[in-house]
Amino acid sequence: MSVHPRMQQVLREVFDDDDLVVTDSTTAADVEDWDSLAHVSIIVALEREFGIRFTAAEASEVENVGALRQMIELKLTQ
Amino acid sequence: MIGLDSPAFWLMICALTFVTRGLQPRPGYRALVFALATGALFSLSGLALASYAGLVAVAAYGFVALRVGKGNWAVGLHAVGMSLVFVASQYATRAPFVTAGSTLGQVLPLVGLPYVYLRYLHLLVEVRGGRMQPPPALEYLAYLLPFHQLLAGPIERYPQFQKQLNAAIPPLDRDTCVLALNRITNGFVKKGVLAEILRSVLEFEFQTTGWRLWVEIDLYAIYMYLDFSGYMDIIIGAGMLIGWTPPENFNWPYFSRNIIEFWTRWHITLGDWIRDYLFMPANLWLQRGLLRNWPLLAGTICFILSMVYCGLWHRTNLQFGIWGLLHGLGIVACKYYEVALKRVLGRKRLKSYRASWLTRIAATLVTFHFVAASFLFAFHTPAQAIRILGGLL
Repeated sequence: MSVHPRMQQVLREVFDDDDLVVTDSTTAADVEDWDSLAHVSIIVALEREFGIRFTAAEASEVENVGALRQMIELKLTQ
Repeated sequence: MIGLDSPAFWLMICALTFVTRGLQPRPGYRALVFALATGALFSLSGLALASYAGLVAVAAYGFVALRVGKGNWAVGLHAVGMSLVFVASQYATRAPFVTAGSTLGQVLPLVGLPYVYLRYLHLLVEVRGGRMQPPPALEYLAYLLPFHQLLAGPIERYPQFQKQLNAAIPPLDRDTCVLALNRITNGFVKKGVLAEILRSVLEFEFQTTGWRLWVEIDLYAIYMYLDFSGYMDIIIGAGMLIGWTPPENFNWPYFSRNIIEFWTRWHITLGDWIRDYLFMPANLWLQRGLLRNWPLLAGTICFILSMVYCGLWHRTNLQFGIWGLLHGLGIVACKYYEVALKRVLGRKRLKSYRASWLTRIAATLVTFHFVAASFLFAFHTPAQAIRILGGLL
Protein backbone atom coordinates (compact mmCIF):
# COMPACT_ATOMS: atom_id res chain seq x y z
CA MET A 1 0.00 0.00 0.00
CA SER A 2 1.35 3.44 -0.87
CA VAL A 3 2.00 6.06 1.74
CA HIS A 4 -1.10 8.26 1.31
CA PRO A 5 -3.82 5.63 2.12
CA ARG A 6 -1.88 4.52 5.18
CA MET A 7 -1.52 8.12 6.30
CA GLN A 8 -5.23 8.69 5.83
CA GLN A 9 -5.99 5.62 7.95
CA VAL A 10 -3.70 6.91 10.73
CA LEU A 11 -5.40 10.33 10.63
CA ARG A 12 -8.83 8.67 10.80
CA GLU A 13 -7.78 6.72 13.86
CA VAL A 14 -6.27 9.77 15.62
CA PHE A 15 -9.37 11.89 14.95
CA ASP A 16 -11.71 8.93 15.46
CA ASP A 17 -13.48 9.85 12.23
CA ASP A 18 -13.99 7.15 9.56
CA ASP A 19 -15.29 9.70 7.05
CA LEU A 20 -12.19 11.91 7.14
CA VAL A 21 -10.67 12.43 3.67
CA VAL A 22 -7.39 14.31 3.28
CA THR A 23 -5.48 15.41 0.19
CA ASP A 24 -1.94 16.72 -0.23
CA SER A 25 -3.18 20.27 0.18
CA THR A 26 -5.06 19.60 3.44
CA THR A 27 -3.67 21.71 6.29
CA ALA A 28 -4.27 21.58 10.05
CA ALA A 29 -6.66 24.52 9.65
CA ASP A 30 -8.91 22.38 7.40
CA VAL A 31 -9.49 19.71 10.06
CA GLU A 32 -11.42 21.00 13.04
CA ASP A 33 -9.66 19.02 15.77
CA TRP A 34 -6.13 19.34 14.37
CA ASP A 35 -4.50 21.43 17.09
CA SER A 36 -1.00 21.22 18.57
CA LEU A 37 -1.89 18.26 20.81
CA ALA A 38 -3.46 16.29 17.94
CA HIS A 39 -0.43 17.17 15.79
CA VAL A 40 1.94 15.41 18.20
CA SER A 41 -0.38 12.39 18.34
CA ILE A 42 -0.39 12.26 14.51
CA ILE A 43 3.40 12.44 14.36
CA VAL A 44 3.85 9.66 16.93
CA ALA A 45 1.17 7.48 15.26
CA LEU A 46 2.87 7.94 11.86
CA GLU A 47 6.24 7.03 13.41
CA ARG A 48 4.73 3.76 14.65
CA GLU A 49 2.95 3.03 11.37
CA PHE A 50 5.99 3.55 9.16
CA GLY A 51 8.79 2.67 11.61
CA ILE A 52 10.44 6.07 11.18
CA ARG A 53 11.41 8.96 13.44
CA PHE A 54 10.74 12.69 13.06
CA THR A 55 12.78 15.38 14.73
CA ALA A 56 10.87 18.00 16.71
CA ALA A 57 11.84 20.56 14.05
CA GLU A 58 10.45 18.38 11.26
CA ALA A 59 7.25 17.87 13.24
CA SER A 60 6.89 21.64 13.66
CA GLU A 61 7.61 22.70 10.10
CA VAL A 62 5.03 20.50 8.36
CA GLU A 63 2.78 22.77 6.29
CA ASN A 64 0.27 20.29 4.90
CA VAL A 65 -0.45 16.60 4.38
CA GLY A 66 1.54 16.59 1.14
CA ALA A 67 4.67 17.85 2.89
CA LEU A 68 4.20 15.22 5.58
CA ARG A 69 3.82 12.51 2.90
CA GLN A 70 6.98 13.62 1.12
CA MET A 71 8.87 13.63 4.42
CA ILE A 72 7.73 10.04 5.14
CA GLU A 73 8.62 8.87 1.62
CA LEU A 74 12.08 10.41 1.96
CA LYS A 75 12.65 8.71 5.31
CA LEU A 76 11.50 5.35 3.92
CA THR A 77 14.10 5.51 1.15
CA GLN A 78 16.96 6.41 3.51
CA MET B 1 15.60 60.56 30.56
CA ILE B 2 13.02 59.43 28.03
CA GLY B 3 10.71 56.81 29.54
CA LEU B 4 10.67 53.47 27.74
CA ASP B 5 6.91 53.62 27.56
CA SER B 6 6.60 57.24 26.43
CA PRO B 7 5.49 58.42 22.97
CA ALA B 8 8.86 60.22 22.70
CA PHE B 9 10.66 56.89 22.90
CA TRP B 10 8.58 55.41 20.10
CA LEU B 11 9.00 58.52 17.99
CA MET B 12 12.72 58.04 18.45
CA ILE B 13 12.45 54.44 17.21
CA CYS B 14 10.62 55.73 14.11
CA ALA B 15 13.27 58.43 13.60
CA LEU B 16 16.01 55.81 13.92
CA THR B 17 14.37 53.68 11.22
CA PHE B 18 14.61 56.66 8.83
CA VAL B 19 18.24 57.23 9.78
CA THR B 20 19.11 53.56 9.31
CA ARG B 21 17.30 53.59 5.97
CA GLY B 22 19.51 56.44 4.83
CA LEU B 23 22.61 54.69 6.14
CA GLN B 24 22.06 51.41 4.36
CA PRO B 25 23.76 51.80 0.98
CA ARG B 26 24.06 48.06 0.53
CA PRO B 27 22.98 44.98 2.44
CA GLY B 28 26.47 44.16 3.70
CA TYR B 29 26.47 47.25 5.91
CA ARG B 30 23.02 46.75 7.29
CA ALA B 31 24.03 44.52 10.20
CA LEU B 32 26.61 47.10 11.28
CA VAL B 33 24.08 49.94 10.98
CA PHE B 34 21.61 47.96 13.06
CA ALA B 35 24.15 47.29 15.78
CA LEU B 36 25.07 51.00 15.88
CA ALA B 37 21.39 52.00 15.91
CA THR B 38 20.81 49.83 18.98
CA GLY B 39 23.71 51.59 20.71
CA ALA B 40 22.25 54.95 19.65
CA LEU B 41 18.88 53.94 21.08
CA PHE B 42 20.48 53.29 24.46
CA SER B 43 22.39 56.58 24.41
CA LEU B 44 19.55 58.79 23.20
CA SER B 45 16.92 57.32 25.50
CA GLY B 46 19.11 57.77 28.55
CA LEU B 47 19.42 54.05 29.15
CA ALA B 48 22.86 53.30 30.49
CA LEU B 49 25.35 52.27 27.83
CA ALA B 50 26.60 49.87 30.50
CA SER B 51 23.29 48.04 30.09
CA TYR B 52 23.94 47.77 26.34
CA ALA B 53 27.44 46.49 27.13
CA GLY B 54 25.86 43.91 29.46
CA LEU B 55 23.59 42.70 26.65
CA VAL B 56 26.54 42.52 24.25
CA ALA B 57 28.43 40.47 26.86
CA VAL B 58 25.51 38.03 27.11
CA ALA B 59 25.40 37.85 23.30
CA ALA B 60 29.17 37.23 23.21
CA TYR B 61 28.81 34.35 25.67
CA GLY B 62 26.09 32.93 23.44
CA PHE B 63 28.21 33.42 20.32
CA VAL B 64 30.97 31.25 21.78
CA ALA B 65 28.48 28.70 23.14
CA LEU B 66 27.04 28.24 19.64
CA ARG B 67 30.39 26.85 18.56
CA VAL B 68 31.53 24.87 21.61
CA GLY B 69 30.75 21.21 22.26
CA LYS B 70 28.95 18.53 20.25
CA GLY B 71 25.70 16.62 20.46
CA ASN B 72 22.48 17.06 22.43
CA TRP B 73 24.28 17.53 25.73
CA ALA B 74 25.89 20.72 24.40
CA VAL B 75 22.48 22.12 23.37
CA GLY B 76 21.10 21.28 26.81
CA LEU B 77 24.13 22.68 28.62
CA HIS B 78 24.12 25.98 26.72
CA ALA B 79 20.33 26.30 26.98
CA VAL B 80 20.57 25.84 30.75
CA GLY B 81 23.54 28.26 30.87
CA MET B 82 21.62 31.00 29.04
CA SER B 83 18.50 30.31 31.12
CA LEU B 84 20.58 30.78 34.29
CA VAL B 85 21.87 34.11 32.96
CA PHE B 86 18.27 35.14 32.25
CA VAL B 87 16.95 34.10 35.67
CA ALA B 88 19.95 35.56 37.50
CA SER B 89 19.51 38.94 35.78
CA GLN B 90 15.82 38.97 36.73
CA TYR B 91 16.58 38.26 40.38
CA ALA B 92 19.65 40.48 40.55
CA THR B 93 17.56 43.47 39.44
CA ARG B 94 15.54 43.07 42.64
CA ALA B 95 18.53 42.37 44.91
CA PRO B 96 19.04 44.87 47.76
CA PHE B 97 22.71 45.48 46.86
CA VAL B 98 21.78 46.66 43.36
CA THR B 99 21.24 50.37 43.88
CA ALA B 100 20.56 52.91 41.14
CA GLY B 101 24.00 54.50 41.31
CA SER B 102 26.08 51.33 41.52
CA THR B 103 27.80 49.72 38.53
CA LEU B 104 25.42 46.77 38.67
CA GLY B 105 22.52 49.20 38.88
CA GLN B 106 23.70 50.69 35.58
CA VAL B 107 24.07 47.34 33.85
CA LEU B 108 20.83 45.89 35.21
CA PRO B 109 18.15 45.50 34.16
CA LEU B 110 19.37 44.12 30.87
CA VAL B 111 16.69 45.83 28.78
CA GLY B 112 15.20 43.44 26.25
CA LEU B 113 16.98 40.36 27.65
CA PRO B 114 13.79 38.21 27.67
CA TYR B 115 13.59 38.60 23.88
CA VAL B 116 17.34 38.17 23.41
CA TYR B 117 17.05 34.96 25.44
CA LEU B 118 14.29 33.40 23.31
CA ARG B 119 15.89 34.49 20.03
CA TYR B 120 19.14 32.93 21.22
CA LEU B 121 17.55 29.59 22.20
CA HIS B 122 15.96 29.44 18.75
CA LEU B 123 19.39 29.97 17.16
CA LEU B 124 21.00 27.42 19.46
CA VAL B 125 18.51 24.66 18.65
CA GLU B 126 18.55 25.32 14.91
CA VAL B 127 22.33 25.72 14.57
CA ARG B 128 23.17 22.72 16.75
CA GLY B 129 20.43 20.70 15.04
CA GLY B 130 22.32 21.25 11.77
CA ARG B 131 19.47 23.16 10.10
CA MET B 132 21.33 26.45 10.05
CA GLN B 133 24.89 27.73 9.86
CA PRO B 134 26.12 29.81 12.83
CA PRO B 135 25.55 33.44 11.79
CA PRO B 136 28.54 35.80 11.33
CA ALA B 137 29.23 38.04 14.33
CA LEU B 138 27.60 41.27 13.13
CA GLU B 139 24.50 39.56 11.76
CA TYR B 140 24.25 37.62 14.99
CA LEU B 141 24.42 40.83 17.02
CA ALA B 142 21.90 42.58 14.78
CA TYR B 143 19.52 39.62 15.16
CA LEU B 144 19.78 39.36 18.94
CA LEU B 145 19.69 43.12 19.58
CA PRO B 146 17.55 44.77 16.89
CA PHE B 147 16.88 48.35 18.00
CA HIS B 148 13.25 48.32 16.85
CA GLN B 149 12.34 44.93 18.34
CA LEU B 150 14.46 44.98 21.46
CA LEU B 151 11.94 46.02 24.10
CA ALA B 152 8.92 43.88 23.38
CA GLY B 153 9.55 41.73 20.33
CA PRO B 154 8.18 40.21 18.24
CA ILE B 155 10.29 37.06 18.32
CA GLU B 156 11.29 36.90 14.68
CA ARG B 157 12.95 33.69 13.47
CA TYR B 158 16.49 34.03 12.13
CA PRO B 159 15.86 32.77 8.55
CA GLN B 160 13.20 35.48 7.98
CA PHE B 161 15.42 38.07 9.66
CA GLN B 162 18.45 37.13 7.55
CA LYS B 163 16.41 37.15 4.34
CA GLN B 164 15.36 40.74 4.99
CA LEU B 165 18.82 41.71 6.21
CA ASN B 166 20.39 40.68 2.94
CA ALA B 167 17.67 41.90 0.60
CA ALA B 168 17.88 45.22 -1.24
CA ILE B 169 15.75 47.90 0.41
CA PRO B 170 12.62 48.36 -1.71
CA PRO B 171 11.90 51.90 -2.92
CA LEU B 172 9.73 53.92 -0.57
CA ASP B 173 6.69 54.45 -2.79
CA ARG B 174 3.53 56.35 -1.93
CA ASP B 175 1.46 53.23 -1.11
CA THR B 176 4.07 51.86 1.29
CA CYS B 177 4.34 55.25 2.99
CA VAL B 178 0.57 55.51 3.43
CA LEU B 179 0.32 51.95 4.79
CA ALA B 180 3.27 52.42 7.13
CA LEU B 181 2.16 55.80 8.46
CA ASN B 182 -1.38 54.49 8.89
CA ARG B 183 -0.04 51.59 10.94
CA ILE B 184 2.19 53.86 13.04
CA THR B 185 -0.69 56.29 13.64
CA ASN B 186 -2.93 53.38 14.68
CA GLY B 187 -0.26 52.34 17.14
CA PHE B 188 0.11 55.80 18.64
CA VAL B 189 -3.67 56.19 18.95
CA LYS B 190 -4.03 52.78 20.60
CA LYS B 191 -1.02 53.05 22.89
CA GLY B 192 -0.57 56.76 23.42
CA VAL B 193 -4.19 57.91 23.44
CA LEU B 194 -6.78 55.18 24.12
CA ALA B 195 -4.69 53.09 26.53
CA GLU B 196 -3.50 56.24 28.31
CA ILE B 197 -7.07 57.55 28.69
CA LEU B 198 -8.19 54.22 30.16
CA ARG B 199 -5.24 54.15 32.54
CA SER B 200 -5.55 57.73 33.75
CA VAL B 201 -9.34 57.66 34.10
CA LEU B 202 -9.71 54.29 35.77
CA GLU B 203 -6.29 53.97 37.45
CA PHE B 204 -7.04 50.24 37.79
CA GLU B 205 -6.89 50.04 41.55
CA PHE B 206 -9.88 47.66 41.62
CA GLN B 207 -11.46 49.23 44.69
CA THR B 208 -15.01 49.03 43.30
CA THR B 209 -17.46 46.13 43.60
CA GLY B 210 -20.25 44.48 41.60
CA TRP B 211 -20.80 45.45 37.96
CA ARG B 212 -18.43 48.44 38.22
CA LEU B 213 -15.61 46.08 39.17
CA TRP B 214 -16.60 43.76 36.35
CA VAL B 215 -16.36 46.63 33.86
CA GLU B 216 -13.02 47.72 35.34
CA ILE B 217 -11.54 44.21 34.97
CA ASP B 218 -12.79 44.01 31.37
CA LEU B 219 -11.41 47.46 30.55
CA TYR B 220 -8.09 46.50 32.12
CA ALA B 221 -7.85 43.60 29.65
CA ILE B 222 -8.69 46.00 26.82
CA TYR B 223 -6.04 48.42 28.11
CA MET B 224 -3.45 45.61 28.02
CA TYR B 225 -4.40 44.80 24.44
CA LEU B 226 -4.33 48.44 23.28
CA ASP B 227 -0.96 49.04 24.94
CA PHE B 228 0.78 45.93 23.60
CA SER B 229 -0.81 45.75 20.14
CA GLY B 230 -0.34 49.52 19.74
CA TYR B 231 3.36 48.98 20.29
CA MET B 232 3.33 46.24 17.65
CA ASP B 233 1.57 48.53 15.16
CA ILE B 234 4.33 51.12 15.61
CA ILE B 235 7.05 48.50 15.18
CA ILE B 236 5.43 46.96 12.09
CA GLY B 237 4.79 50.39 10.54
CA ALA B 238 8.37 51.49 11.24
CA GLY B 239 9.59 48.18 9.80
CA MET B 240 7.66 48.83 6.56
CA LEU B 241 9.57 52.09 6.13
CA ILE B 242 12.90 50.25 6.05
CA GLY B 243 11.56 47.34 4.00
CA TRP B 244 11.79 45.12 7.03
CA THR B 245 8.38 44.02 8.16
CA PRO B 246 8.37 42.08 11.43
CA PRO B 247 5.88 39.22 11.83
CA GLU B 248 2.37 40.05 13.07
CA ASN B 249 1.87 39.44 16.78
CA PHE B 250 -1.88 39.97 17.24
CA ASN B 251 -5.02 38.81 15.45
CA TRP B 252 -8.09 40.03 17.37
CA PRO B 253 -7.27 37.80 20.37
CA TYR B 254 -10.38 38.69 22.36
CA PHE B 255 -12.53 37.08 19.68
CA SER B 256 -10.99 33.66 20.45
CA ARG B 257 -13.45 30.97 21.45
CA ASN B 258 -11.08 29.18 23.81
CA ILE B 259 -7.68 29.64 25.47
CA ILE B 260 -5.92 27.41 22.95
CA GLU B 261 -7.11 29.69 20.17
CA PHE B 262 -6.29 32.75 22.26
CA TRP B 263 -2.62 31.79 22.28
CA THR B 264 -2.61 31.59 18.49
CA ARG B 265 -3.91 35.19 18.33
CA TRP B 266 -2.23 36.96 21.28
CA HIS B 267 1.55 37.43 21.22
CA ILE B 268 1.58 35.01 18.30
CA THR B 269 5.36 34.79 17.93
CA LEU B 270 5.72 33.83 21.60
CA GLY B 271 2.96 31.19 21.32
CA ASP B 272 4.66 29.75 18.23
CA TRP B 273 8.05 29.73 19.96
CA ILE B 274 6.68 27.88 22.99
CA ARG B 275 4.85 25.39 20.76
CA ASP B 276 7.94 24.64 18.63
CA TYR B 277 10.69 24.64 21.25
CA LEU B 278 8.97 23.45 24.40
CA PHE B 279 5.51 21.93 23.92
CA MET B 280 6.33 19.88 20.82
CA PRO B 281 9.66 18.33 21.92
CA ALA B 282 8.42 17.62 25.46
CA ASN B 283 5.17 16.10 24.21
CA LEU B 284 6.95 14.00 21.57
CA TRP B 285 9.32 12.71 24.23
CA LEU B 286 6.48 11.76 26.59
CA GLN B 287 4.26 10.22 23.92
CA ARG B 288 7.11 8.14 22.55
CA GLY B 289 8.07 6.79 25.95
CA LEU B 290 6.56 6.99 29.39
CA LEU B 291 3.06 8.05 28.31
CA ARG B 292 2.77 6.31 24.94
CA ASN B 293 -0.76 5.12 25.73
CA TRP B 294 -1.92 8.31 27.45
CA PRO B 295 -1.68 11.14 24.91
CA LEU B 296 -4.15 13.34 26.78
CA LEU B 297 -2.15 13.05 30.00
CA ALA B 298 1.07 13.84 28.07
CA GLY B 299 -0.68 16.88 26.61
CA THR B 300 -1.92 17.96 30.04
CA ILE B 301 1.59 17.90 31.51
CA CYS B 302 3.09 19.71 28.52
CA PHE B 303 0.39 22.39 28.34
CA ILE B 304 0.87 23.22 32.03
CA LEU B 305 4.66 23.10 31.79
CA SER B 306 4.63 25.34 28.70
CA MET B 307 2.31 27.95 30.18
CA VAL B 308 4.11 28.11 33.52
CA TYR B 309 7.33 28.68 31.55
CA CYS B 310 5.50 31.34 29.54
CA GLY B 311 4.42 33.05 32.76
CA LEU B 312 7.87 32.94 34.34
CA TRP B 313 9.44 34.22 31.14
CA HIS B 314 7.29 37.36 31.40
CA ARG B 315 8.51 37.93 34.94
CA THR B 316 10.28 35.48 37.20
CA ASN B 317 8.01 35.74 40.22
CA LEU B 318 5.14 33.87 41.90
CA GLN B 319 2.43 36.09 40.40
CA PHE B 320 3.41 35.45 36.81
CA GLY B 321 3.98 31.76 37.58
CA ILE B 322 0.37 31.57 38.79
CA TRP B 323 -0.83 33.54 35.74
CA GLY B 324 0.90 31.00 33.48
CA LEU B 325 -0.47 28.10 35.53
CA LEU B 326 -4.00 29.49 35.18
CA HIS B 327 -3.63 29.67 31.41
CA GLY B 328 -2.23 26.11 31.37
CA LEU B 329 -5.20 24.89 33.43
CA GLY B 330 -7.53 26.85 31.14
CA ILE B 331 -6.11 25.08 28.07
CA VAL B 332 -6.35 21.69 29.79
CA ALA B 333 -9.95 22.38 30.86
CA CYS B 334 -10.79 23.20 27.21
CA LYS B 335 -9.27 19.94 26.02
CA TYR B 336 -11.10 17.80 28.59
CA TYR B 337 -14.37 19.65 27.91
CA GLU B 338 -13.91 18.96 24.20
CA VAL B 339 -13.27 15.25 24.83
CA ALA B 340 -16.32 15.01 27.12
CA LEU B 341 -18.53 16.81 24.59
CA LYS B 342 -17.39 14.45 21.84
CA ARG B 343 -18.33 11.47 23.96
CA VAL B 344 -21.70 12.86 24.99
CA LEU B 345 -22.81 14.45 21.72
CA GLY B 346 -20.99 12.36 19.12
CA ARG B 347 -19.07 13.84 16.20
CA LYS B 348 -22.02 15.13 14.15
CA ARG B 349 -23.86 16.84 16.98
CA LEU B 350 -20.58 18.29 18.25
CA LYS B 351 -20.04 19.83 14.83
CA SER B 352 -23.43 21.55 14.87
CA TYR B 353 -22.89 22.58 18.52
CA ARG B 354 -19.64 24.25 17.53
CA ALA B 355 -21.21 25.88 14.47
CA SER B 356 -23.99 27.47 16.54
CA TRP B 357 -23.55 31.26 16.85
CA LEU B 358 -24.90 31.06 20.39
CA THR B 359 -22.07 28.67 21.36
CA ARG B 360 -19.59 30.93 19.61
CA ILE B 361 -20.73 34.03 21.52
CA ALA B 362 -20.86 32.22 24.88
CA ALA B 363 -17.43 30.62 24.37
CA THR B 364 -15.90 33.94 23.31
CA LEU B 365 -17.32 35.75 26.34
CA VAL B 366 -16.13 33.06 28.75
CA THR B 367 -12.65 33.11 27.19
CA PHE B 368 -12.41 36.90 27.31
CA HIS B 369 -13.47 37.07 30.96
CA PHE B 370 -11.09 34.28 31.90
CA VAL B 371 -8.21 36.13 30.26
CA ALA B 372 -9.26 39.42 31.88
CA ALA B 373 -9.50 37.86 35.37
CA SER B 374 -6.15 36.12 34.91
CA PHE B 375 -4.39 39.50 34.50
CA LEU B 376 -5.29 40.24 38.14
CA PHE B 377 -3.14 37.31 39.24
CA ALA B 378 -0.19 38.51 37.19
CA PHE B 379 -0.03 41.92 38.85
CA HIS B 380 -1.28 41.17 42.38
CA THR B 381 -0.49 38.64 45.06
CA PRO B 382 -2.80 35.59 44.93
CA ALA B 383 -4.60 36.80 48.09
CA GLN B 384 -5.14 40.28 46.64
CA ALA B 385 -6.40 38.87 43.32
CA ILE B 386 -8.87 36.58 45.09
CA ARG B 387 -10.04 39.49 47.28
CA ILE B 388 -10.62 41.64 44.18
CA LEU B 389 -12.54 38.86 42.44
CA GLY B 390 -14.57 38.40 45.64
CA GLY B 391 -15.85 41.92 45.06
CA LEU B 392 -17.73 40.67 42.01
CA LEU B 393 -20.12 38.67 44.22
